[in-house]
Amino acid sequence: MPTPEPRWLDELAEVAFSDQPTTAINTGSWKSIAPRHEDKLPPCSELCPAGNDISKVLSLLAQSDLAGAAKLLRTTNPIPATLGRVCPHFCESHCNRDALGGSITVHMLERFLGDYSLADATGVELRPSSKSGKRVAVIGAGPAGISAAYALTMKGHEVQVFDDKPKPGGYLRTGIPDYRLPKSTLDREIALAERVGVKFRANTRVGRDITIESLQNEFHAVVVAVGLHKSRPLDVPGADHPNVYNGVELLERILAGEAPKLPRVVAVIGGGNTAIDVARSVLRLGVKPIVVYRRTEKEMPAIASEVEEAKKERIEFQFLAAPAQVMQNGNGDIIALECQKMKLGEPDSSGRRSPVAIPNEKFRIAVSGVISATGEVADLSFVRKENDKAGYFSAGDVATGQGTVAAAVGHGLQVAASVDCYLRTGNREAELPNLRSLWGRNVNVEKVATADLLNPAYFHTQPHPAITTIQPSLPLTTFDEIVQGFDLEQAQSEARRCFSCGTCNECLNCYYWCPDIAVHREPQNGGLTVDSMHCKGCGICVQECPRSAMSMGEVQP
Amino acid sequence: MKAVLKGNSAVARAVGMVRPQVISAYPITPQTSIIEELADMVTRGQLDAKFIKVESEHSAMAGCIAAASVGARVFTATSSHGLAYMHEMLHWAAGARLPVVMVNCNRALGPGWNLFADQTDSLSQRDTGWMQIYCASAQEVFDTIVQAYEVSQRTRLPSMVILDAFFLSHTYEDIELPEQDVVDRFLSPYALPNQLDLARPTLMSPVTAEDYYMEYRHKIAVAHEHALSEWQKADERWQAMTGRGYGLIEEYRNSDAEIVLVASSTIARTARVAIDDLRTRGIPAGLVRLRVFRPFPAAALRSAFASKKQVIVLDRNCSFGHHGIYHQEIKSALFDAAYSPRVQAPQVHGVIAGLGGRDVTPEDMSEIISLAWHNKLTGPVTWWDTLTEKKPDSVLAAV
Repeated sequence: MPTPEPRWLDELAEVAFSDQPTTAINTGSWKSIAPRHEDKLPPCSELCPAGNDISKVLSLLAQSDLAGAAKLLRTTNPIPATLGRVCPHFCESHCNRDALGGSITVHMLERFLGDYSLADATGVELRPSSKSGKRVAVIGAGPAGISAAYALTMKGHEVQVFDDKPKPGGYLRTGIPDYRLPKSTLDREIALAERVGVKFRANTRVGRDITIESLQNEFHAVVVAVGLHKSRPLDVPGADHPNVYNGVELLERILAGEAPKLPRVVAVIGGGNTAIDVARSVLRLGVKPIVVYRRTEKEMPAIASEVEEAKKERIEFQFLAAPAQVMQNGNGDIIALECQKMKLGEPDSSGRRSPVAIPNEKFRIAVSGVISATGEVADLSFVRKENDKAGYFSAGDVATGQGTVAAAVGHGLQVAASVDCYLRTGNREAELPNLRSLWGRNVNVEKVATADLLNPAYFHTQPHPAITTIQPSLPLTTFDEIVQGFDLEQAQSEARRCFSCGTCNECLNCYYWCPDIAVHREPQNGGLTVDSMHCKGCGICVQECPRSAMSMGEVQP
Repeated sequence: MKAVLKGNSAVARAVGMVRPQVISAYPITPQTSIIEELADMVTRGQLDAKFIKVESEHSAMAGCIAAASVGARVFTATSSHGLAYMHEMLHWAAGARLPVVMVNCNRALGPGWNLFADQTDSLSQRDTGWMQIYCASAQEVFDTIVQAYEVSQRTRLPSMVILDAFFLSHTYEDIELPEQDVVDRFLSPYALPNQLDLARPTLMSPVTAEDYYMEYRHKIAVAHEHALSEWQKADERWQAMTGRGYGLIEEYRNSDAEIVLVASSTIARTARVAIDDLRTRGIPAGLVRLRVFRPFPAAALRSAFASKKQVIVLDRNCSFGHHGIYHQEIKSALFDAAYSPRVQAPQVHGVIAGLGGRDVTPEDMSEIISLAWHNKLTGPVTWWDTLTEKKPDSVLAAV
């Protein structure tokens, strides 16, 4: 061995340094548990009947990628401008943000992005897949029909939508007043679906102008999405009077600008959205409506904010009252609605307390007309049992009875996926797919990122921007839209309040916190991965993920 | 400026004047008031430093190591179990040659749970590569901290400045505080040869196998040898600037003594009273106070013990299975000396006393030395004043 130079020890640095990495040493080989990036469902998306990818859409909006956000929204939602206005926004009911400044006003952002893409579709337009050569008939151009047609068109199928009304839209057009949904918005939203390739054939009633059999011969699949349009008649003595109206039909006439001359004071019977919509609509025609409902305000199926708006408009409510008789005077004019007084009993199958009659307790409400809005049923008179065969599908309220536009849209999308599978394979899936598993990104749809999974250290109270409404000046005479949309600044600041629950938004906490530098960013797309050879399984990344987009799990030996 | 301060406040004042950039600390009795005072100074803006509250002493030292690695002047303080918990990181700081300065309040280790003075905590860290300096007064604590920053920086070895729990940490004394510019002039500009440089990224302290490991360890040993003269130089320079110096060891009435008591920390201050007392009784006793323990001043000790008849080593510590730790260290220094034809090694006897804060009074020390002088201490080591070992009959009255 050669003798070191005399100064050799002096020349050696005091401490060891290396310019080489330590990756050769697999320090992660002893761990028994390991972290992984795992997106979970945010509570909003879990509750969204249309299965919208809300956290991802909001994250794009927060990053000022408006076109990207609008486009992503439109992949799961063909009518966001409409839904943003009319949906009861189930998504906001369990928002983790609620305790820190109030739930994210998702519907306002949905509406903002919907309007954005209606104003300028550049960069928002979706391109359908290549032509499949298959043809699908959709019966009914309501929300379920539109969404099914839209999704099937995107899959490359040729879709024809049949509807008996002069213009598509279904109940959106005939049942939702303009002050909630301006028809110009609906028109443009439908135009956008047409631009994707959906074809509508108006004024064609299946069963009258064309038979379902002929459709079944001509098309590879038929989707029945006719909704619930047939009103239940008022079944009390005296109800066969000309001033007793069917709510759904009356609304349709009002919306078509063909309102009949109405009596001065009317009882509107029912507690759902139709009742509220009718009451608020006739109010604008100079009529004084009194809403009569069997239960109390708490049990009303109508959207709570709509009830609030109605109260602001000074619409009267008579709760715990069931119609018993329409009273007439000697001239045959309606003079009153006799009501049975009710009380609340045990909860029924809907979970709401049921109305129970109080014997011998009746009272009269002085009215000159009555509008019945107690629920609708489907008119399936054009379908026979033998039509239900391979290639026959039904979508929306007619299939589910769920009764919201969002549920109809969601079901339409699910059925479309099922139809697509049938058209491609000839087989029908046993169950409709989970809409969230169609997002095209990796999400564990079985896990919800509830508040207890988030790291509260990262979130602070922040109120949402004020929502502007046009305060009604009485008497109301216009059908102008009441709730005003967010401007860009409001929309972005609201989107930035979103926790992005369960959804990695590349905040890079995992990357920075990892003591072993074992969280890597993909050079191409910035995606985050855990380097299993060097991760020791300490779990700091999972703990410090603000939004529960990571999980720990046992390492399989 | 004169001030009346407890030992812990003297620490905080000294640290405040050396301009540390990072203080990374975890509280433990009896040092807590040190870091509380420093935290106050940082909060009030009197001290421009980052105060890192950590979750353990292990992390406190890890914080100091990280900050020192990027070239920050750092400080921490601990005691007893905290120091024990830091053990791994103590090795790292020394091995990485980082000039960390730490204060340790000597406190007994449990069980039994005990908050009081005992040197076993710091002496258990003897082999970590840290320098250790045992102080006897609040003034010395202040002065030693300033010196430690200079010596650590020059040697790239970490320093542990040690004071007794309560006897010094919480006892108020008058001390002289220097002006800031004295401290500024005393300390060399802060720069490390090996600090992390973002422009030239390197992996610090990587795997170092048998090919170089020993060389780096040898460098630590060489640095410690060199550190003795650095301590001496720093002490002399400080004395020239402030009038106060302490030496590696401190001798009291030792030049003509025949029997020498060796002690450290506050016991060694009390011992002066005993030495004076024994002199009046005709026993030629002297005192050697061990101040710098690592690096070990063997030559200074050998010269202090030259031609003495007896050396009595008082240990407020014990290495179970053998003797008191100072006792062993001094014997080993003198055994080396036995090979030297010029020096006749004295008889050495060890006394273990004062563990867990038990008071060691001047009377105790007078009695110990007079017993030794009369050859009444049998065996190599005596456990003084314990209920479990019979004390020899007093011989003081006879003197």
